Amino acid sequence: MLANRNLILLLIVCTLPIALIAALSSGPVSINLVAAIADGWHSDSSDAVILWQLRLPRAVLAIVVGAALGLGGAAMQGMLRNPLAEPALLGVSSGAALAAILVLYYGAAVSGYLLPLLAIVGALLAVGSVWLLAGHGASASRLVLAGVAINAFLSALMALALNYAPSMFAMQEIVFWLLGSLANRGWDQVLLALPFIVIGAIFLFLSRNYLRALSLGEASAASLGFSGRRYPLLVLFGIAFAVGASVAVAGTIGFIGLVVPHLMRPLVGQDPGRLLWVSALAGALLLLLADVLVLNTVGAQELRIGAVTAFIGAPFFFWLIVRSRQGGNL
Amino acid sequence: MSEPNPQILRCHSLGLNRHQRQVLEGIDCAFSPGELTAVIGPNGAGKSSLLGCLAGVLPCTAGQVSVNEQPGSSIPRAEWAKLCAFLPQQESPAWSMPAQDLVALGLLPWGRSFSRVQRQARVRAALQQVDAGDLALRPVTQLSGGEQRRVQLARLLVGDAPMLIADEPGAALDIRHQLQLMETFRQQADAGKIVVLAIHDLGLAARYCDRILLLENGQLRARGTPADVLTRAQVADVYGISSEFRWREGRPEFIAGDLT
Amino acid sequence: MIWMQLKEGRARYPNVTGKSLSGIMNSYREILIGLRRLLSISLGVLFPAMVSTPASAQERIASLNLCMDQLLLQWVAPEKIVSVTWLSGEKHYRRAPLPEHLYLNRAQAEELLPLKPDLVLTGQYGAQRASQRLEQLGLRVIRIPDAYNLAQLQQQLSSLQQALGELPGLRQQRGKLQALLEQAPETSSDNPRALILSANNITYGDGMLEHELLTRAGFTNLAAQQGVQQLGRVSLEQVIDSQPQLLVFYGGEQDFAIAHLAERHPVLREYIEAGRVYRLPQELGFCPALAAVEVLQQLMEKRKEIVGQP
Repeated sequence: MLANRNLILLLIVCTLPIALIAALSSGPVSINLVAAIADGWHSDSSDAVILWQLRLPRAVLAIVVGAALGLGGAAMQGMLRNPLAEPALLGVSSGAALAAILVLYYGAAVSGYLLPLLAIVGALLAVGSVWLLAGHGASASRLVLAGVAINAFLSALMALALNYAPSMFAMQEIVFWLLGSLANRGWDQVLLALPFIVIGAIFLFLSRNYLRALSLGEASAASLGFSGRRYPLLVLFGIAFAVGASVAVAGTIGFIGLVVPHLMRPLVGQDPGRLLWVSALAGALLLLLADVLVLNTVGAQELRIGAVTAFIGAPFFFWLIVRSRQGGNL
Repeated sequence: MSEPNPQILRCHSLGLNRHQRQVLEGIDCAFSPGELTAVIGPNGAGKSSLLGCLAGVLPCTAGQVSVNEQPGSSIPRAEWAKLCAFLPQQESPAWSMPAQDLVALGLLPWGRSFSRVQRQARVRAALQQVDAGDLALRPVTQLSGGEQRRVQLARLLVGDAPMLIADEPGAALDIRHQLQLMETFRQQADAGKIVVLAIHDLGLAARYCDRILLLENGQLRARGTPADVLTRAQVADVYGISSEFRWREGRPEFIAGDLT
Repeated sequence: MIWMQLKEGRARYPNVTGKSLSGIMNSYREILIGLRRLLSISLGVLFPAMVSTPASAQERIASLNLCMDQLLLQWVAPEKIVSVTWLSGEKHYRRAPLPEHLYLNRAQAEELLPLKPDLVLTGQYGAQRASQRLEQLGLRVIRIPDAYNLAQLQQQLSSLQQALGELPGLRQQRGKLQALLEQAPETSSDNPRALILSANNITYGDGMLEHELLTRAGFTNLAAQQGVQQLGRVSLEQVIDSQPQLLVFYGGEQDFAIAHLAERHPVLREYIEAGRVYRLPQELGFCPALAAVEVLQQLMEKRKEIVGQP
């Protein structure tokens, strides 16, 4: 049993580099991967430029964003003690996206770190509202209702903001903000998001024992030394940093934060602390695989990566609800 | 345990205001090591609130809790968690972790000061203490109510904290496990710990506890030995039932009668 | 290499009713064939009208089409214009200051009637219901054909001249265009390679005005060379791989949109720093008559720069 779990974890670790190679060799232009790697970073050959400047940053962004979303989902489920919690589903991503839209489309000069910072503030406000509205051991249905309400409201504000944005393209781009995309991303976006995602991960690392204690309940967690506002705030900030920074560069990519912690939970003996890292790992893998799928799907338009993850995630979510109706615990 | 044993846990005119309602008012009491204290009173008398304040989970709005005359609020939470273990009235695990992992959560305040082996040994011992050694690997959400409660009791005991506070620990347990539970708490008290339990079963309280606090409407109605508190008149006044307190073969016995 | 053909293009000619014109791209070829027939008929119909009412008599001109708006504002005295579309009031499309007395219409017949225009200009598509209504009510409505290539552009300008009479600005523009087109395009095998990277990774291939301008200026349009008909999609990888000597962006650099993310990608920084980029003005998209001449001149200069480099 234990050996089996570790085997699966090992498998995930080993699959990640394979998926990375798959991502690096996928694209509209066929390149000589080995030669491009050998040419090195500074080479001017078009194969090397395509590999180092286009494909690698995109793959790295998929890994970083996937990890952040997996981490955010695991933390959110732990904090709300609820397996239906998910940043995109409960409006956290929408909060970040709304802030990002306001900065990008209205903020005259797109000034570097202001974008992820404000997206983080947006995510924080949304996750804070969810926590206040439905936290403290709310039932799954109340949580989802509160989340749906917040999400719908924020999505409406996003549409409104895009409607009045100066760019002619803005209104069509609601699709990007609702379904996410990794197309045309470069190292600049990776560098924009990565520091904040790392900070968020550190926050969540510091609150891992709180999340563990919280699996007993709020009163028990308090009696185990995790009382006061410090720990919930640490988790809220951790989620907001990880999810906010991801959304700022890649839009809302849903369901990673729902599916991944669920699949990983049995592998770590339901431990919410270890779940964080395993979910980050599996989230990175899942998003990278989803992007490989996107890259290899031929169509007039690039498939939206959020559509791919929703395609996997929505039936899963449905299955969860059906199972909970049948009396199984979530 | 390396922790200094608290000499005395004391409440100084403790008050608690929740949702614009005075839940506790002017509670003065003290708990000494080696004493098993029962907090009794009708529903809504403030038993859980008093225990929450004692355990430091609820911030009291008036007065204070002190340990060895040191105000509880001046003790860091992490230190306090090592001093005092608390089992709330309802504790439903969010995740279906194996029972032994849930019990190990009781060791969280000690962080890494125990080795993995030590932790496992303590968890095993605590589970055996509540007659749940065989449940170690079972997922907690698949356990029956009583089994779950026993696992949670093991979580309470695993840290070997000098103060144990439990809110209705015997609820959902069958009579055998209730007696076993009280025996366990008796042993803990005899080992020099402060043990405070909220209890509904006055018979168990009379039989096992050294002292009883009787709460009514957030105020301390009476305190003392079971014989002092569970008088016919007092029980009739607070609970509205007839009762009898007697000694039988050197043991106190409380028998509830009819509604008055 | 697969260059994806774009089935549905973005509406190139924003029209007053706001109705999407994306479908038009599909039937582009049929339109092209039908257009000549239509033109010959419409000119036949329009011409007698032209003779009966001299151009100078028009004192109250209204427009139901963004491009017509812009052309009127540029070449006709402001006091002779009574109404243009609301789009012309938008920051995106406004080129010159908008006279205050103008009524900004949303292509409703009711809006235009009280203004008593003596000439209503409309485009080939859009605002059809309003223009039919106005015609039924006895107003003089003239449809100016849209221009999707250089030949059509010349025809558009000539039918505009017929409708409005002799205007110095218009005549000058026609003359310039004529002169530029008469210069034989430099066709040589070592023409510099150019590639258009427009918003949303769209590129322009064979059959598009943008392509014609590039080839007329002496560039090889890589998209057309790869077999892209009309609109296609080009990824950044393909841009890097095909190594164009001139990278051509299209419109809107100032307002942020995800659509422009590709051209902001650091991988293109080298092109921008080396000055190997050209930006087609946005007007070319919705009203080529405004910008085509200028663009052609600038592209020709750009070619000289590139060819001049060793």
